[in-house]
Amino acid sequence: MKQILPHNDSFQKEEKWIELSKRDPEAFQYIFNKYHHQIFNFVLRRVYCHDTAQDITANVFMKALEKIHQFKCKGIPFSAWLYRIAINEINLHYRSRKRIVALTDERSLHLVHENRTDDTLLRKEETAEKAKRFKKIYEAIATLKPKYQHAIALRYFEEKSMKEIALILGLSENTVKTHIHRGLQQLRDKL
Amino acid sequence: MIKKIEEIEQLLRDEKLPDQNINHLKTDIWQKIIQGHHVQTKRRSFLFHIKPWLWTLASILLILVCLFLMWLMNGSR
Repeated sequence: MKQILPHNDSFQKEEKWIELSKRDPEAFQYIFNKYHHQIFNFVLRRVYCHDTAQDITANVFMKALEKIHQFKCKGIPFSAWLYRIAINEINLHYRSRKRIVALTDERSLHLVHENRTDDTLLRKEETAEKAKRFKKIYEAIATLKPKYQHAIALRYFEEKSMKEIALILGLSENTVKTHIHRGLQQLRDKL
Repeated sequence: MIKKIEEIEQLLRDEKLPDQNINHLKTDIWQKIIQGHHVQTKRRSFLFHIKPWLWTLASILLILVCLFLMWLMNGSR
């Protein structure tokens, strides 16, 4: 399970870089290097478009850099704060419906294919079948309320613990559990 | 037709989009961030660096426009 709650050493190091970034934007590169992969993949799993995910990731870090002086190290972990910004940016993206790219058969096939080392081992029909299943699931998730979508994505795609999800979404663990359960129930009815 | 919640959970885990390696895009994204930050800082510093006499003049003009509008409204009654 990927952890967002840092260990003591890395936490202190991160805290130092955050403080430096408040004075010098170039120091923010350390933070960017550490988290860009996580954030990009999280966004990609929500918008399933590389270009859009790239733009949103850039916006997330731009907003983080702009507001970094408001971040207090004793509050939530920095990564949770970044995920929070990412969620806001994803919500903004879905509100401006003009920018939404439909998940076509071709696009889902491309996404399933991308960076797979076992591509050659997968038969054409298998890949097509996988892409079809992937599209069906993602379309079903897209019909859920955003709060359920975020909780499910963080739990099953980002593999976060309930505590971490609660920190990211600013909710209690019980509320997160309820959101996930309701989301799964709705998915069961749709699939 | 899937019946159990556990099956849905397993399906979500199995069909999760694999992590994509974006190291080749890292520099592009970082450049975008830094450029965006510079534009924002410039825009903000432009507003803060407008000379005080310009702010005063703009305020006086705004007051005059308001007074003129009030006079027009009174005149129309």
